[in-house]
Amino acid sequence: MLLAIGSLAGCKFEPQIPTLLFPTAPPQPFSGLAPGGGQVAERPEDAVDKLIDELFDPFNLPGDEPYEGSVYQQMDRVLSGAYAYYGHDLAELARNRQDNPLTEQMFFDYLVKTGRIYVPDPATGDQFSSYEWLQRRLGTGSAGVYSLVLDEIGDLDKNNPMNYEANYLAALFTAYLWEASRARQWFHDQLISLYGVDSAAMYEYLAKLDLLGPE
Amino acid sequence: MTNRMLADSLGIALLLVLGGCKNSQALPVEVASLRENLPTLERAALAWRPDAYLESSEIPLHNGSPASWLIDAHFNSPTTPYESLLVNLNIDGSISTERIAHTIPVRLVAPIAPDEWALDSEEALKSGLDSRRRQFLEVHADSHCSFLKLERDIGEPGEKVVWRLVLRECLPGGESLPDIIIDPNSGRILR
Repeated sequence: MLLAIGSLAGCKFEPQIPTLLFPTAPPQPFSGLAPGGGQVAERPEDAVDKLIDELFDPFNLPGDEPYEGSVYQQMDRVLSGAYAYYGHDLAELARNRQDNPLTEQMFFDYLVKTGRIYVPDPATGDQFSSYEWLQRRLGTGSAGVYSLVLDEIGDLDKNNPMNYEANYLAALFTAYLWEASRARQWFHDQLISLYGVDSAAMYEYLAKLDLLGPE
Repeated sequence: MTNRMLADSLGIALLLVLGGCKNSQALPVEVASLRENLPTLERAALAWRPDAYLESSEIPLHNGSPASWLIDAHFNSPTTPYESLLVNLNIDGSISTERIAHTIPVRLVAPIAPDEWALDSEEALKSGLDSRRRQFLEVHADSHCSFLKLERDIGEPGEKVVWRLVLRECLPGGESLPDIIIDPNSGRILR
């Protein structure tokens, strides 16, 4: 069958048609909160797409908590400095498909030496532990969808928690955009296969997956 | 003929029969032929950039796979550092393309030339399917997200072209087997 389809492919050559389309449910009202707090009608498949995008974002926070401007963003930026501190070019490491050479101990030493074990939360003024944040990130990374991207990239140890450090994941996703996009497509197709057009059930599954995050 | 020679001959004959059985054993999954379809995929890429070249290609193992495509091929262009092209051969036989905008320059590996891989996808799959992997596909016949990928072996000397066989379940936390790296000319398992 595949051969037959393959031989037909040349007859259906359309170089500029848009990318993959999926069967979706007819548009239905979906209860979602607008930024201002009011109810808006959002198509269920749009809500699903948005949540999948969030899940594939290495800096995603569980639920609706915003990352931009948060203490978590500040902590991740602090942690990103460790790579240069130990003489590594983060982008180059990622492009070479190397396992993350930094260890938890190296991160801890870096934070101690730079006096940044704690950083102030700009929202509350409270002190947050960068190291505990790192541990939470590493502890939950493999439970999410990121391992699917590592499958696509290849050569990376999915069981090495350091490969799930958010800055490292972000560098990998930037260097291997196609692979990240392909992993997302696999995941999406599997959801369609499992849930069909039942976007509400799909959303429920994704929301549970989202809550596996590091909070 | 001595008894020893007779026994040796029978042994060789048995091995040949068993070898033939192994080679003719039906694959538990279907894969599209990259060799046959690559010209079509390349035409789409050349419409994007005349200097486009094949960087890698992924072929899902169908039967139990949810993938909506048969083959995808990723193309780079040496004169287009911030963009690459993904070309899909879809299940319905249509071709679709997706331009991928990069925020850092694309890592320009050497093009994958036709003479660097003699084994087509199905032959590569046969080479990589040992009994453990065959069993994986049989056990997960209803649902798996496995694929073959033709790519350069980044990080290894010479960055040669290889087939990589990835067998895995679909959802995060699902079972997966270690990747197999296959020589695309001899079918030998490299690691």
